[in-house]
Amino acid sequence: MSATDSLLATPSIANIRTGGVTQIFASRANAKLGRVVSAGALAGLALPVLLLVLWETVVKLGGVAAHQLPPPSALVSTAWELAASGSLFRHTWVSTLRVLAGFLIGATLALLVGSLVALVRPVERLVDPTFQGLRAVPSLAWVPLLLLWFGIDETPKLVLIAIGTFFPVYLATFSGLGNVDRKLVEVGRQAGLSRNALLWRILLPAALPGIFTGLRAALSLGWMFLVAAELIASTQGLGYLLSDGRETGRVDFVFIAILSLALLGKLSDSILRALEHRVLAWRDVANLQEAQA
Amino acid sequence: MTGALLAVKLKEKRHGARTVLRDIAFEVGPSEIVALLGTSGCGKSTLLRTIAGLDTQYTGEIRHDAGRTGFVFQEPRLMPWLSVADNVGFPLGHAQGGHPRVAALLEEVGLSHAANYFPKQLSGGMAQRAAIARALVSQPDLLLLDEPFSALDVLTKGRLHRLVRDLIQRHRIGAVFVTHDPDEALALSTRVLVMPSEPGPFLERLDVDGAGTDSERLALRERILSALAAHGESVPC
Ligand SMILES: Nc1ncnc2c1ncn2[C@@H]1O[C@H](COP(=O)(O)OP(=O)(O)O)[C@@H](O)[C@H]1O
Ligand SMILES: [Mg+2]
Repeated sequence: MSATDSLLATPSIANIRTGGVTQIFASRANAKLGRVVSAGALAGLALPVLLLVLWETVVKLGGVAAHQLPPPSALVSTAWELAASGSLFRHTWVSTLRVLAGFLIGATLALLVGSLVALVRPVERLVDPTFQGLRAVPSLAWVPLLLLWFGIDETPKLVLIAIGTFFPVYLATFSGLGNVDRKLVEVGRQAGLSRNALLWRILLPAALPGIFTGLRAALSLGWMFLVAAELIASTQGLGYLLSDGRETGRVDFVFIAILSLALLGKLSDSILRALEHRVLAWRDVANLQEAQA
Repeated sequence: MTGALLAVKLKEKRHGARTVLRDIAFEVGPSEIVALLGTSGCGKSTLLRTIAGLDTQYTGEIRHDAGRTGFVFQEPRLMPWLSVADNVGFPLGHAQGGHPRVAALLEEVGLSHAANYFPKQLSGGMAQRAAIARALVSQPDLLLLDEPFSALDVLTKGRLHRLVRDLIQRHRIGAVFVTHDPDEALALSTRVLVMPSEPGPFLERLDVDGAGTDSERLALRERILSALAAHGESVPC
């Protein structure tokens, strides 16, 4: 047993691969780990930096017209102006709030409905085929309907984002609950757990890894649907900045909006992923990098 | 016998079209430890699961007079998202890892130092000890144990034998435990039931309690081994 204990005492490093991005995650910080993380981060930065330098050079040398592809230095000054006037912050804030609100509404409903559909057989037969059909509708097809029903203020945007985030979470909850190990459920039945306790104490925790995957897919869809909604009808937000840039011929605005969306998307996913690592620290997952070596 | 905690009169138990158990009958009273012995695949786990009410399709009668039942599955079956302490406290309710009985049991099975570990950090034997502690935490009147000591080293096994036997006698619990080891059956049980490899009644029923001397034990051991070797030739009992 002492061999096991000394094994446990060394901090474990789990390389967790997510969507092609390899992230190094450790339960305990230590110096060696710090070096590994920063080396990994530097490797990831090398390509973007190289591309930026190349981009600046090509535009400065006149390879591409600056009004079609502004050089990074011009984008920095535009971003500075937009930031100084407060409008970049305002657009970012409005968009972030919309995604958050839509995501919370959609994901919460999906968790509730997904649990209900997974656990109650008659409900599954009744509603699952309908949901599968609705899921097949491309997101943008909802826009005209939502505009007709809810006008052009906040409501149609939130509803669109909620619809978009609903389905991945619904699917993950539904299939996650349906795939819980019978052996664990039997432990609960043997202990005399009620249906409710079984759901909270066994089924949901066991389904949580899958649900998290669904949440992350939903959040990135949320940003996509946000842009769809804001491009069509809005006076604020990053989607508005995109369409404003197009209408006034400001390519730099378009670039700034795209970059902001990229940063926000990445940031929000990182937050969710950090939460995932915290909540799912109990998972016993294989280290794919090592397994391949 | 009157005052039995468990009375089993099983006519037939099938898995799909295949009969796994037939004409199995026995009783377990307070302070009795019944060992089920049999070759692998003869239906020992199925019998325990049926007694516990996890398999409900059978003919015959299973009567419980026990209030609570503790079950140790053949695999540890710990909840991977709960710490060892919360796993042991699981039958008591949500987040019961701090319950005093949990701490006491962790001490008894030698897992106090691992109370905050996740199951993925446990060796097979540690996980099995946690599962045994979980089965005991609700202070059951009847214990069902499916090869609970199979992954343990000799020393730990001896300690847990004493712990389980002591608890059973002190609290007048009844127990049914599955093993494929005749020596373990003799060391721990008050009665040994040998199952046939083909569905049918027990091949042997041996009272171990009276066997005090080494030669008596050796004789019982011989009878168990020859019954196991008889391979399905049903012996009237
Ligand atoms: N869920 C199941 N479905 C179908 N057959 C099963 C199932 N569980 C066990 N069996 C069969 O029942 C027989 C007895 O199994 P089991 O009770 O696990 O044996 P033991 O515990 O004595 O090794 C085996 O032949 C096995 O293949
Ligand atoms: Mg078995």
